[in-house]
Amino acid sequence: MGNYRVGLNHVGAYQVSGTPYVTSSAFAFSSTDESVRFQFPNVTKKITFRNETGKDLRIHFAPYTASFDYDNGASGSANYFLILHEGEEVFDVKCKEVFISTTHTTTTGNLSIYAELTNIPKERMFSLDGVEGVS
Amino acid sequence: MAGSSDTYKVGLHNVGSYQASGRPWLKSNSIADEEVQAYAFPNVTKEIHVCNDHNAQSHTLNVAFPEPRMGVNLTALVSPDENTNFATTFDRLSVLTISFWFKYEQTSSAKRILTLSSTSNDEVLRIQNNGTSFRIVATDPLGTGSSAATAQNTVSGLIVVDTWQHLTLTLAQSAGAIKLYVDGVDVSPTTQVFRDEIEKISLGHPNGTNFDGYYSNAFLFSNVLDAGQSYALFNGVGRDDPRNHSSSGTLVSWWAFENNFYKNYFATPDTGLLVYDRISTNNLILGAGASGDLLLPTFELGPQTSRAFANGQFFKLIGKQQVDISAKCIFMAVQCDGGVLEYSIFSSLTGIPAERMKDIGTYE
Repeated sequence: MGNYRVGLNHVGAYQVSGTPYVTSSAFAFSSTDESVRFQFPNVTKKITFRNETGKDLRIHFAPYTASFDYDNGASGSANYFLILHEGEEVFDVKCKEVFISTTHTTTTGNLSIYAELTNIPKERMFSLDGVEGVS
Repeated sequence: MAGSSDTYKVGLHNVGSYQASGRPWLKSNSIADEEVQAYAFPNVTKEIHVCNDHNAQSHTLNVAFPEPRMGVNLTALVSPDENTNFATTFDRLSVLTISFWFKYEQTSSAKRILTLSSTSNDEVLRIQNNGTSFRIVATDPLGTGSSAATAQNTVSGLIVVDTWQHLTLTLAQSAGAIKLYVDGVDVSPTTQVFRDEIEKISLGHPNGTNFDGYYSNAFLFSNVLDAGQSYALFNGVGRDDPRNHSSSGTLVSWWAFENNFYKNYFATPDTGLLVYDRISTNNLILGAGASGDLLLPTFELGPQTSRAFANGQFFKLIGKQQVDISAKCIFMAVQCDGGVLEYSIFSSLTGIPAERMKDIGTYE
C-alpha cells in the first residue's frame, strides 16, 4: 500500500490545510556548536518558530556541525537563519527535520514550533546533507 | 530515459512548482559599511525572507535585484611582473571615442589603464594613474615622428579605490583635441596634444607593468561624442547595451566582458583569453606583454550591481527590520549602509533549475 501514498511533488498536498505539529521545548545548550534536532512525522509545508529565550537562536536544516549522520554541517557556509530573542519567523518550506543552535553558551529557555504537515510520508523527502544553501 | 533527466525537469511557468512548499536555502553573514554582497540561487526562488539582525536603526541593509552582468579581474595577475593586457586592432580612425568601466585596487604606484597605437604600431597616447589622478601621455604630440612625450595630469581625487568608475576618452586628430570624462564629468586637460591616427587599442600596457584592477563593458565609436552623449554612456540610454545609444550608428566595437556566469547574455560567452567584439570582429585577445606569464583573469560582478544601489533601486531594512519577498529570481544582492551589521536570508526554492531563468532578459 505504501506505493499509493502521495509523493513529494504532489501539489495538492501543499494546497490543502495541513495537520498541526506543535512543541514548546525547554533546553539548555552546553556549547555554541551543539544542535538540537526536531523531527516531523510527515513532510512540512510551513513552519513557525518563536524564540522565547533571551538570546538569539540559529535555525538550520542540517546540524550546525557534522553529526546526526550528516557529513556536512550548516556552519561551514553559514547556512542558517538567526531568530532574534523574543522573535518569530515563518518558513514556507518542505523538510522532515530542523535543527536549532545558539550563539551564546548560556542560552536557556523555550522555543515554540508550530508546523503545518502535509500527508506526504517523511521517507519521501530527499536528504539535505551537502545541498547548497543548507550544509 | 538515459540522459534525459534535464529534458524532463520543470519549466519556469510550471504553476505547481510555486504552489508546493520549496526546499530551504539559508545564509547568515556580516557585511561592512558600503560593502555589496551578491548571492546566486541554485534553483528559482518562490520566496525570500531577509532580516537585518543589527540592533541599531542606523545600520541599514539594502536589498536589490540588479542585473548580474560581469567584468574581468586582472588583480591576481600583477604579481610580480605580469604585463597581461587585452588588445586588438581595427580599421584606423582619426576621430574616435573609447569608453569603459574600471575599478582600481590600489593607486600607490602608477599603472597604465589604456594604450593607443598608430598604424605603424607606435604608441601614440596612454592613460595611467598618478596617485588618484589620471595622467595622459602623448608620445608624439606634434605628429612629426618625434618621441618627445608630453604628460598632462587631470585633477586629483578622480580615482576611488575599490569602486567601479566610468571613463570616456574622445580624440579628434585634425584639431588635436582630447576630452576625458570620468563618471560623466569633463576632466579634460587644457593642452591639446594628439596628432595621429589610431589602429590599435590595449586595455593595459602592451609591454610593461599593468593596471591592477577590473574592466567591464568597453565601447569604441568612430566619432567624437559630445558631453551629453558621453554622460549617457555613464548613466543614460545605452550605458549597458550601446546599440541603444543615440550614437549607435557610429558604434565600431562593444566588448562586454561577459562569461554568461549568471545569465546567458550572449550566445557565445567571453573567456579569459578572448573577449568578443559584439558589433564586428575586433575581438580583444589576452596578451602576456613583454615578459609576463599568460595567466587567465577571472570574471567577477560588473558595475551594474553596485549601480543599482547608487540609483536607489533597493528595499531598505533598518536595524531589526525584515521583509518577505515573494518573487522568482536566481540572483540578489545586499548592501550595508551606516555601519557593519549581521543579516540572515531564508529562501524557499522551487524545483526549477536556475538555468531555466538564465535566458530571460538577455541581449541576444
